[in-house]
Amino acid sequence: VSLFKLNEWIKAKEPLAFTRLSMICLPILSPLGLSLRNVQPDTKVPPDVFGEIKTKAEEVAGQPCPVQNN
Amino acid sequence: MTIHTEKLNTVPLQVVADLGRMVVGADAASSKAHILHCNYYNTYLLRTIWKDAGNFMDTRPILIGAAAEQARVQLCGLFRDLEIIDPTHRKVFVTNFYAWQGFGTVDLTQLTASGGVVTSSSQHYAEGWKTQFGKADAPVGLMTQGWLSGAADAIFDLEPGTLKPSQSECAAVTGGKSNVFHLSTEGEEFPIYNVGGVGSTLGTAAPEPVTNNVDSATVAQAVLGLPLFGDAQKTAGLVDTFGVLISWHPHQFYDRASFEMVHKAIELFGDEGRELAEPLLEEAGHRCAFRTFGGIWRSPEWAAVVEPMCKTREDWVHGMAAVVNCAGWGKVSCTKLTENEAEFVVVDDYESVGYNHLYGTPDFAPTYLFKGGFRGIMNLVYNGDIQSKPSLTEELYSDLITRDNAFEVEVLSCQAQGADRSVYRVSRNG
Repeated sequence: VSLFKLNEWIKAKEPLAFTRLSMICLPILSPLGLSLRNVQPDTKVPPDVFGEIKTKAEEVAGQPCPVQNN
Repeated sequence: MTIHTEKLNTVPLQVVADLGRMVVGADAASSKAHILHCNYYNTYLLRTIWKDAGNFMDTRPILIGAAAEQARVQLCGLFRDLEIIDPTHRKVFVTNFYAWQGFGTVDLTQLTASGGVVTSSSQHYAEGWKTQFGKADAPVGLMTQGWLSGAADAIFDLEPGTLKPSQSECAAVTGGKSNVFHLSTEGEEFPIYNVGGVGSTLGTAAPEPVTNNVDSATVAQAVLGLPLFGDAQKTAGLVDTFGVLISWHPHQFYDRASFEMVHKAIELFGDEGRELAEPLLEEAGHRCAFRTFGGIWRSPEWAAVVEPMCKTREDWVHGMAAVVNCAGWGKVSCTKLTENEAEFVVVDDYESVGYNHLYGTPDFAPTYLFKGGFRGIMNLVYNGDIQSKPSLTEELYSDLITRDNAFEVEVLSCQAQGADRSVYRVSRNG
């Protein structure tokens, strides 16, 4: 649920932010066989991966991301 | 040695109107076709390649190598054609040519065959970055680094890549004006690309546009009479017009940098990589349309020359197509147009010409600039009411691309893949 919520958060930021994040996160998610474009509400990733993606999302958005990894 | 000063101050530009090209250089092997772009396109593309794609590949050397290629190949040819032999004279020409392209100014007086420091108080990319993104966290002058390296090779008749560039001070980082570049035989290697020539064009005419009231020839005459090129002394090498900073890169710089990134994305991540990179390349084009086309539509030049011809909203589209035909991008024609959809045809679009020349025939459609550009035209004319000349704010931009009836683009055919033209269908979402 957390990664899905993070997706929703970044989609609400600047136009194309989600696309940018999707490309930026390719090397993080590709080894897991995942892409941000295909994330579903039940998609789970390890905590360290979520942390990496959240950091990248905050860089793209230029502000802290409130989504927590539950 | 005596030399005519005029030769050092004059860029031998050939406007090849029937091909829609702006060519600099006399011989086929070293000529380059230059195209107009703006700081919004340039810095968005730079961020995409350098920062975003930089998360999975080392893109800095690609950007440097792409710029070095253009400078080295073209300047070697120009020095030969114009018989500029002395390095001191060559430096004068290089300084003027750099400024003419709208890149800014460079002081080459300390540069020797073994390297040196190059200073600049006026940089297109630094000023453009600050305008679009604010301060940068690292020097943004990658294009200039590469260009200077290639230029130094040409000035001193060195092997390609002999002098490696770096940048210790950047106005986009400090918020000031000063920029300091270094060239040295020691330093980070970058790929040596070495393709000359403008590439093959079909040379066929664009189809007739749908009936409209715009006199394209009159528009072209007016546009080509504008002061659209930089001058080291008069404009500090910047071209500040229509609310943007204009530049005149050889299109192969964009082609090389963009397609190298796409190729690497494909190599690493397959189609997924390409499909994620492509919208960002298109977005650079859309931003260019919003800022540059929007700026042109709001300009006194448009009001004086084109607007009086515009009897319908559709004429605003055709008028902009006539302007685009002076940008060196290829030959554009709008062959279908309603408030809900349009079809644009481009013969010899620069991305297709560039791809074929640099890489051959692709198995995907490498056309991004026009997708964003045509989408931008339709969004501004039919959703943004550009006829009322609204301020080009980020709020308007965001509204235009997020609204439910925003326009989207489909590539119906692509010249790079063997078609006799590139065709784009623009229609509303849904």
